[in-house]
Amino acid sequence: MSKKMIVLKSSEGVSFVVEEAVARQSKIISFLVEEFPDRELPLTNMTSEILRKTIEYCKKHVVEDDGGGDSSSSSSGDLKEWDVKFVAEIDQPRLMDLLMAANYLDIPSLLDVTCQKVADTIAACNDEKEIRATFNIENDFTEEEVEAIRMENQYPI
Amino acid sequence: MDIISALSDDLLLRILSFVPTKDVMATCLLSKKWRFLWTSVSRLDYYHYNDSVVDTGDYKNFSQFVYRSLLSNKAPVLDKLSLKLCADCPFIDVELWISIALSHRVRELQIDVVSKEGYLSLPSSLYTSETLEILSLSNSVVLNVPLSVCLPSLKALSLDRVDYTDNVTLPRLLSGSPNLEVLFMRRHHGDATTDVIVIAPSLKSLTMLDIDSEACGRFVVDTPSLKHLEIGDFAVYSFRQMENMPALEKAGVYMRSSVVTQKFLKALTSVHRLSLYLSLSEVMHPSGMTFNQLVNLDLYTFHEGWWDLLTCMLQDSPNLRFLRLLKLITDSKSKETPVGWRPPSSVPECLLCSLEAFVWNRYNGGQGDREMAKYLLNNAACLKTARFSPASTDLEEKYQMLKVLSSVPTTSASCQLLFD
Repeated sequence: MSKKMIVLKSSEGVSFVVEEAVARQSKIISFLVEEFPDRELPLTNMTSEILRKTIEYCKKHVVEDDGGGDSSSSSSGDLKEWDVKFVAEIDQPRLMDLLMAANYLDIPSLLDVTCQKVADTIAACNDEKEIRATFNIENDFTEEEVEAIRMENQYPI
Repeated sequence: MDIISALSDDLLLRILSFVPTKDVMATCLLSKKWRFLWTSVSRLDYYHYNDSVVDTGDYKNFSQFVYRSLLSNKAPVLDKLSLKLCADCPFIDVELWISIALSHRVRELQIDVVSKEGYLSLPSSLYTSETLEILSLSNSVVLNVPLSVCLPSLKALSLDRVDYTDNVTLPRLLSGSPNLEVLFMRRHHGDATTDVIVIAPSLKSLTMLDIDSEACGRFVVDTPSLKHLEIGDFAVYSFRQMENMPALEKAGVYMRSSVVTQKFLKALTSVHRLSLYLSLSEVMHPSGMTFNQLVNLDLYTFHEGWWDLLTCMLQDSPNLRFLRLLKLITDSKSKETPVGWRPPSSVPECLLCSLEAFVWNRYNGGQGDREMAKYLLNNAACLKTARFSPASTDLEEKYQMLKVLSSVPTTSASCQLLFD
């Protein structure tokens, strides 16, 4: 039986031909495929690069439903390891784009993986100054305000 | 605005829910956008250890931080509270923290207390929580389940080396949890109760570990919806009973000290994958049980008489495809098949029609083992691979074993003999 393919189009107009089962991990695509079968699906807010990454993730995580009980492609431990490597190789701006793509396309597992990576980056910082520097967050507090908040929320180091 | 601050609050909260709670608070100093976000994070974890490796400061600071962050929390529903605490945390604080979480309609509670002084009693409101879905308790916690227990949302329960007030505590808790699907239990040495009675109609996965306690009373499992079962114990019960599990897919039964009857095994006949590490009191044939759906069987060669159990399982599993004889690394030696081992009176159906692969780990190669290996190779008509991994590392000895095995005529035309 040949597998059904669908076409996704990035913001640059590049078409990606993907197996339907792979793309259906996105709840949004799953919905669109049912509403508009046999149509190209334009994803105008996703660059080709991010779309390619998203598809790479979905391909790895697709569950082969061929009825074979013992033929599962990879164990959950292997998948976790793969996920860690997958996000480790992405730089921060692209990671944020991927996180937003996972959110937009509604792919919960990819959203968790990307959120976890951002969370790890935050947790690895020693203080708020380091977090600000890491994410280029502008400090819009006055020094007095910072002191006041610090007094209010004393937390253990 | 920078990329991260441009995210919606929902997404930022999702990110923060993966950050350890002690690091979350620091984000209130980042910018105005972040000022109060931390108070809406719905997953909270607090760890306090007083060892030098993981130093989280002194207890006073810690408890102030927990109170402040718990009481400030404005998440509409608290998804998770996790407490991992060492000896010097007063139980009164811990009980209060749990109560606060319960009043925030907490969905998952994870409590791990290690204390030499006594046991943490859980607040009674825990046992009537409408929202609690996952409850995980470890170490110095005592279950004092009231008669009014009612946990309609509870799906998963883990009881790891906790204490019970008496023998009715566990059955009462289970009867008050009508939708429970996953139960993990590990008993410990100081556990004063003698019985383990698990009656849970909705349960799908059950793990019961007990490698510490000694003399025990009754062991009863009645879980008609079960799909996965794992029993591992060193305990001797005066009475063991398991009721039929018609939906069972996977089971592992590891009993070092107990001897069970075929009637006990009969509860498992619906299983697809089975792992057995046990001893039968008496092997009767016909046994009155048929493992019609059993495809994978792992059998451990630790107990005296495992060969009789194997005979019995071969006869009763007409569709078996994969068979492995194994030995745990911790077991010093596997028991060798005695000389004069009696093969089944007629060739089992699975050997004639279904067995494809056979593995014998830690094969000893003595006369009895040889007889059994020969019998299997001789009679398994559709065997594709037979793999032997000898216990010995002596090359000469291994060579002799290989020589004997490779000279055995096989019925299956395509059988491949593998030797490690």
